[in-house]
Amino acid sequence: MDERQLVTAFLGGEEAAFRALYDLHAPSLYAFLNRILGRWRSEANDALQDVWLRAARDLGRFRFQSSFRTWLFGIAVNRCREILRLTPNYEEEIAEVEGVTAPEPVGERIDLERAVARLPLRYREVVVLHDIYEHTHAEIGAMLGIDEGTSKSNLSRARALLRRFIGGNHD
Amino acid sequence: MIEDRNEIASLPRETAPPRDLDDAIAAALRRAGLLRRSRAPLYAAAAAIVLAIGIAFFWTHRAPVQPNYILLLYESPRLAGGSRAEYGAWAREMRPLIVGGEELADSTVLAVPAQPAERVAGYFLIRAKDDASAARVARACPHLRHGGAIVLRRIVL
Repeated sequence: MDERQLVTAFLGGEEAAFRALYDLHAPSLYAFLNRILGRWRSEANDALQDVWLRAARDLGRFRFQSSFRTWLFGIAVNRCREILRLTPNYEEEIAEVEGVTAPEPVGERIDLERAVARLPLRYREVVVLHDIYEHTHAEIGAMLGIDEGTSKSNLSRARALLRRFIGGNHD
Repeated sequence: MIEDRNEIASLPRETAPPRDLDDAIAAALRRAGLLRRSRAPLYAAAAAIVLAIGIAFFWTHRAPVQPNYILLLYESPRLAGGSRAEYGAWAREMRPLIVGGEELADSTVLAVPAQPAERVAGYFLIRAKDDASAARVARACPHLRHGGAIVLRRIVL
C-alpha cells in the first residue's frame, strides 16, 4: 500500500493506516517539534498528539497538492506557534522544563543544537525546515505564511547568527 | 563554520517518540470519532477506561509543573450547555498555561456545617507569570459562555 492509499485509509478511520503513517512520520515530526519548541520541548508529546488529531480532522481537505509529510509539518509549525505564543518571556518556567525529552546531541553537535535553540523563532523555523528537513523555500513560504524571498533572507540571517553563536562559544 | 546547509543537515532528523505515545494518540483519535477500533477487546476496554478519565487526560504526557493559580468553576442557575470535550479542547489550547484540572462529581461526600449556596463543579490548575496572565486564561474559559461563574485564586506556594 503506498502513502496515498494509506492516507485514504486513514481518512476512512482505519487504525492500521494511522499506525503505518505514524511509524513513517512521527520520528521526524517529534524531532522537529522538540527543536522548534526549544525550551518548551516538554510540550512535544502533547503537540505530536495535537498534530495527528488536527490531521485526522482536516484530512478531508487534503488534496495531495503537497506531500502528506509537508502537510503534517505545516500543522506542526502552527501548533508550535500557538504553544510559543502562550508562553512569552516566562523565564521562571524555563528552568523547570529545560532538558526534558530533548534530542540528545553528542560531541560537537551540542554547540550547534544549542545555537539553533537560541535562534529567534522565525529564523529557527526556516533553517530547521530547509537545512534539516530539506523543504523548498516555496514549501516553507506556504507553511509559514511568508513569501519565498523572506524565507531565503531568513535562512541567510539564521546561518549568519549560527556562525556568530558558534564563533562566540569558541572565544 | 556554518557556510552552507551541510553542517546543519548533519543534525539528527529523527527522534523516536516515547514508546506508548502512539497508543495514546490512537486512543485520542478514537475518542474523537476519527479512528475505528481495530485491536482486541482488551484494548477496547483500556480505551473505555481512558475515556472515563475525561478532561483529566489532556495533560497525561506532561512533565509535572507546579501550578500557582486555581480557577474554580461554579454551578449557577444560568449554567447550560457545554461538554467535557469542549472544556478539554479549550484546556488543550491553553497549554502550557493550564497544567491540570478535574470535573467534580455531582454528589457531595460531606458538607460541614452545611452545603454552601454555590457548588464547585470543577477546577483548572494554571501556571502563569502574573495575575494578568492568569486572568486572561480565566476569562477565556468556556464556563463563562455557558452561564457559569468562575473564581480565580492564587495558590500559596
